[in-house]
Formats: sequence, C-alpha cells, structure tokens
Amino acid sequence: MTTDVELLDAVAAGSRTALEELYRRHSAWLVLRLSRRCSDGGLVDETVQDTFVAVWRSAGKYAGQGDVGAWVWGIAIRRLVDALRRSPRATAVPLAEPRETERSAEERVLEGVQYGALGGALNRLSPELRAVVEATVLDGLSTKEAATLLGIPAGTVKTRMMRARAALREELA
Amino acid sequence: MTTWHVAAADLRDYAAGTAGVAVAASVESHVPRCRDCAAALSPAVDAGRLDAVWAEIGDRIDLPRRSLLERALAAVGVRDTDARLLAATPNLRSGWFGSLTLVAAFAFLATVLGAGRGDITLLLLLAPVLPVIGVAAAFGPHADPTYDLTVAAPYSVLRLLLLRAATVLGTCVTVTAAIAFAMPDAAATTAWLLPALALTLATLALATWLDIAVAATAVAVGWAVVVGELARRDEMTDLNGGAARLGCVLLAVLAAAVLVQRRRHFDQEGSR
Repeated sequence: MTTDVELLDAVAAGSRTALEELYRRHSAWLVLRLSRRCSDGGLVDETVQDTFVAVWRSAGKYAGQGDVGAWVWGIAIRRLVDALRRSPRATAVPLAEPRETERSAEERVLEGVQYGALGGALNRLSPELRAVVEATVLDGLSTKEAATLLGIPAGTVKTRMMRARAALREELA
Repeated sequence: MTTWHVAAADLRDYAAGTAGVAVAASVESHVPRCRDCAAALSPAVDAGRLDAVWAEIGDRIDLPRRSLLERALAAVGVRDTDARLLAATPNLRSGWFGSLTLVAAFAFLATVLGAGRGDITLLLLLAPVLPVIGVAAAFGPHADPTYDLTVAAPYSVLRLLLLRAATVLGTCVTVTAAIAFAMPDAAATTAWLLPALALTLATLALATWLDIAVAATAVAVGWAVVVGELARRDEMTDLNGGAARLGCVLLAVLAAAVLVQRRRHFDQEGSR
C-alpha cells in the first residue's frame, strides 16, 4: 500500500494520479472538518480546491515531519482564514452547533465516561467560548487567525479564551 | 497506522455535525492519520460534490501559473484581465528591459568619459527617445503577436495602448532616472523628463494617422535634429530653460488633445 508520504513525493515529481489519490483519501474529512468551522458550503469547496492546488504546487516543501494529513489540514485551515478575510460577508461562525437535545441523557453520560471530566467540561462551555477553544487550542490558530475565522475582534478572542480557561479550571478543580 | 479506531457511532455523529466538542476533537486528531477512519467518513460527503471540486482542481493545475508580474499587478488592485494584458506587453516579455539598461548605461559612460564640463547632449538625445521607442515596440502588428486578437477583441484599443504605454514609461523612466541621478550635472537628472513625456504623447498622437513604428521614427528623428542643432550652436542649456519647458508642455497638451479627439482611429486600424 502506498503511503501518503510516497504519494506526496510523486506529486512533487509532477504526478497527477498521485494527487488524485491523495485527494480521494483526504478530501472527505477535509470537507467535514471545514464545514464545522464555516457554514458556507461554497466557501468550503473553494477552500478544499485551493488547498489541493497548493499541495500540487508546494508538495516539494513538505518537510517530512508530521503526518501528511496534518500538513494538509494546516494548509486548509489557513486557506479558509484567508478566504474569510477576502469575503467577510460569508458567515464565519460555525453554525453546526451540537444539537444536544437530540441526544439521550444516557448517551451523554456514556460520553462523559468515555472522555472523562475534560470532555464534559468542554461540552458545558457556552458555544462562543467553545468556538474560541476549538480554533486556538485544537486548530492551533493564532489569536488573529482565530478572530478572522470566527468573525470577531482579536481582543474578544483573548477575553473569551481567558474566560474559557477560568471556566474549565473551575469545572475540573 | 494505529490499531485504535474511532467508534462507528462517534464517526456518524461527527459526520452529521452533532458530535460534542470532545468527540469532535478526538475524531479530528485521529482521522487525518488513519486511512480506515478517513475512508469510513467518505460516504458522509456527496461523491458528486467531491468529483466537482476535483474537476476544478484539475482545471487549475493545468493552467499555466500566473507570472510574478501578473500576481504583483493583481496584488496592487489591477483587474485580472488588465494584468494579463499588461503582462503580455511585448517589451516585458523580450529582452527589452536588458537592452534599455544597456543603452542607458552607454549614454552614461559616454557622458562621463566625454564631458569635461558636464556635457549632457547624449543623455538628452537618448533619454527622451527611449520611451518613444519602447511605446512603439509595445504595440502594433510588427511587434505584438497578439495584435490581431487585440484589435478584434471588444476592448478599447486606446485603453490597451495607454495601459501598455504606462507600463513601458514606468520601466523606462525608472531605469533612466537611476542613470540620470548618477550624472555629474544636476540639470541632467530632470531635463529629459518633460521632453520624454511630450515626445511619447506626440508619438501616440501621430500614430492615429501613421503606423506607430513610422510615427516613432519620425518623432525620434525630429528630436535628434532639434538636439543636434542646439548642440551645434552650443546652446544645450536652452533645453533646460523656460522656453523649452513651455514648448514641451504645449506639445504634450496638443498631442493629448489630438489623441483624445482621434481615438476612434485606433479601433479602425485593424481594417486597413
């Protein structure tokens, strides 16, 4: 089985079939993951497009550290931030809110057990605080990038991050 | 590849957008490095959508990359189509820039070596004519491989001509100014600018009657005669005087007026 790194080497050498294989492997989760952060489907598609065009052009720059998937995501999330910066009218806030009401109490308990206290504490954060935690901690974005992604001022990102930290500390104490 | 996999129910929740933040974080950190879980997520995204995006990617990687110049122009707010037209300016594609630098450097050398008293004849002879030649070489059936397309396209030929002239003047004036500033004579640094503008406009105006190459030649020869005559009479300093400046301004205004008045003749040029 060809690994992602081998595929990327082939892409760097100009192989289109290798790029297509990479696309088949990584496009679906990329669409889902971007859709959690941007409610505009057209913008998500455009970002996926930009991402793989960038992969095609800069495959040679992949340093060989970390997973290819993580590298691709690093390109994708920044392309999304760029796209949002260009068209601020697009809704930046991830509107795919977890619909907690559809989940049974039993499921929620199981989830709490499975993922421990931290998961439960994260889930109890308000959507605004959670979005900031996701963007900065999980996506590894800078304050400025997170601000563009969420469509809020950078100062707000900082205060919300502080509030989220305080809330989590209290929950986990 | 790990042996641990995300539970099927969690993948379903994630794909449906109903997963909580902990599950989502767990899925998102695992899926990029696990082919099985990534494949399990695939059915959640419409295959037609992914195919459409792939088709667009294919189209884009087949396109030639936009040149550095085009991207720079686009970055400063020039429209895509204008940027492409400017980048296709023949001068910028050929060795024009190199030859320009060479000619200007020769003028500089000749002036420095030949002048005890800061004789700027050669500079004044050449510097205003360089943009004229440049503009002439930027447009017309003899220079532009896309000329037929240009004339047939629903796009004002004058607009294109002016855009290109502006590009050429930009590069020309930059190079010449760099050379002129190195001149020992302070007058040399600015004396050629007004004549250059006037002569270029005169060329464009003449080009509404004549072929642009003929127009450029006529203007260059006319200028050479004027400079030659002044040099013979040892009155070169007159070129920097008030009368000469006024003359240049008048010529520029007159040429601009003619150009605006007769702009339609460019669009008809293709028919002759």
